[in-house]
Amino acid sequence: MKQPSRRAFLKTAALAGGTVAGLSATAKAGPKNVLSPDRNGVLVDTTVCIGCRSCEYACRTAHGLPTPPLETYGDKTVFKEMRRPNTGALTVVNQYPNPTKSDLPYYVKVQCMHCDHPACVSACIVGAFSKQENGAIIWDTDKCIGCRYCMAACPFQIPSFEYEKALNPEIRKCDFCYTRTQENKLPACVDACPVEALTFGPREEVVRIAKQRMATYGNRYVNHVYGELEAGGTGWMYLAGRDFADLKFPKLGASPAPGVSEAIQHGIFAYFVPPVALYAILGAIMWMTKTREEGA
Amino acid sequence: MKHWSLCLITLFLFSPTGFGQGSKWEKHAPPPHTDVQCQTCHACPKPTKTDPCLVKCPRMHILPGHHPEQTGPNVLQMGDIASQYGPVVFAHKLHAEMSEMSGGCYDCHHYNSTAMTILSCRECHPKSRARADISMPDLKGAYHRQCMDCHRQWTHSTDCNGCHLKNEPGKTDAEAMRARELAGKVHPEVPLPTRVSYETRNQNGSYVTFFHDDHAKRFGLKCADCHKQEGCVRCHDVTKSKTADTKIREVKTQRSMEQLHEPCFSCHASDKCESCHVAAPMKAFDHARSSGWALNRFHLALSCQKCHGEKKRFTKVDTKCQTCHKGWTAAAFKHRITGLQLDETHGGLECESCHIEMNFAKPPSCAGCHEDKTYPAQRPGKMVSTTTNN
Repeated sequence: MKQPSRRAFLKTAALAGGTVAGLSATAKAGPKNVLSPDRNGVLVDTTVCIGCRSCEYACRTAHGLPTPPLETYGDKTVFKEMRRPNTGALTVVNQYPNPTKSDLPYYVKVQCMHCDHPACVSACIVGAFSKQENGAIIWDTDKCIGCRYCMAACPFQIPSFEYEKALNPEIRKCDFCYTRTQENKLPACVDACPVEALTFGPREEVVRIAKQRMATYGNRYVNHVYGELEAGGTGWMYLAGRDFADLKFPKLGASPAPGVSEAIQHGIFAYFVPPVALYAILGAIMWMTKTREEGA
Repeated sequence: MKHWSLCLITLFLFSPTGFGQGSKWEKHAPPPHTDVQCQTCHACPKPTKTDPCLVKCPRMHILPGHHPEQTGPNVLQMGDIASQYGPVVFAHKLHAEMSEMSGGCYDCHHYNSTAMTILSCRECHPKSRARADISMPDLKGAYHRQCMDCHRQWTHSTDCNGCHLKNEPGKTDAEAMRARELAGKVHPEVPLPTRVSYETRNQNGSYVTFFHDDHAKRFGLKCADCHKQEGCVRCHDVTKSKTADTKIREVKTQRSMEQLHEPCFSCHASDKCESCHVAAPMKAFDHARSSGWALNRFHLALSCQKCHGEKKRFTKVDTKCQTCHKGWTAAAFKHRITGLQLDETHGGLECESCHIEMNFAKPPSCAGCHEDKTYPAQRPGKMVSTTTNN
């Protein structure tokens, strides 16, 4: 009896593997995650920001979050500690010393970066997160089960969770003012900034302008557009007058945060291929063992 | 036909666009960048002095230079959002004066030569923030950047009214009042330090003594010769922190070695380190000690440039009287202008007989001839008024 050759086995295995890989590439059940060439971006010029926190007020107002009156935002004592966006403030501004001009500190606005390859969309097990054509990463509160995988996955630690709510807590983060931009309005923070430290426009154009500014005012900036390549590129990008590491920006490579893990995970779990493949392999082994016994 | 062509030639020769313009355009130096075409700045093919037809937003440095300070406006009113607020009254002259020690006119009039037509912000910066061309900030951002970059004491509690006048009855009066108030405003005189002693990290000589008084007054340097990139924040508290009790304060800035030495090196480039870096703070400048030639009371009153020339770096001057006083001779010198008219006996003597080693700063000595006489107890003549012309 002819032995099943090693070549034949490898062929079967390769076929199974190919099916898995093929399916993972064309996984249809995944959430909406488009990378439109028309997606928008924002350039945050930290050398222009004056730390007035108008954006914080505008953001809260636009999202119906409770806010103290605008007059209180002039209080500079909030800069004594580093703040992070939370469920009550989707964007915050932090202050960092300026080594060359001690009295003109740098201010860095923090909010969701709206990644081109979002880890939150990838990590969300119920497909509540999605990246829209206009670049915004939004989420469906009705789908969200509160697993907080998005919080763990985000390389910028942006999504926050209403821990204080016992009933029906929600995930909160900057939504790039999705409703406003749908109505052709600017994001609330961009609209409110008195010095236009935030420049809103198509992402490609924003990158071009960032580089143009660096070329024109070389002394003003460090030679880096943060977010152009970080984590595979982000919608929000920054220019700064000192090293980004000093401004507490995470040091990230150019590969997308979900990257390899997403390819493997989505590949393995798509269309129940792994169990089918597993049983197919087990079946093959049984068949081979059986034919070998018969041949003996 | 001949008549017409003659007319045309005459017109061409005398028109400002013809060959005659060379002399008229002395200030219009050829642009330093060879790639700059006429069309970069001028919209029409033949610009004239009266109508230069400048395109909007010409690049900076193409036409360097700026108009004299006096011709700039004293107070400006910007009423771009008249529907919401009254005009912003801006003390242009006050700011122009203050800007001398930072970037000058270009600090605000960027990309724009102030030599001729002054472009207003609104000619380049678009009014709407939602727009296709996002290469420059919108008008609101542009205005606010100019003001708020320094005026960070602005808070929401002032509700914009610090600059923007409220649109309410009586606004026109308030507007006029503010304009009047700002028109007369000048920056108070900055108190100048006499001597500044820096303690440096140089191990061979940790002290550097800088004689500010000498540089500013004696050497005739202008503030902007050294203070090139000073911002208001050097002295003024722009954050309006509640703890700061005074308006003026010294702000620490971190500068590189090059930046620290740059103001000194612009003149003292060839000096050795140890000529400034010494073990102890230096004493004030003494002409006698440094040059070996003491100045008498007449020379002391002169400015340094009178003898050493206008050059930044002073050169050694010969101590002979004739070096400066051309055609001076001892015989023709009338001693009475010093206040002492020599008597006949002394009038014919050589200078050195009394003024030892020609040092006119020291009191003269009688010891050469008279063992028992001293000056000024005994004088070789009579005192006269120095103001009298002889």
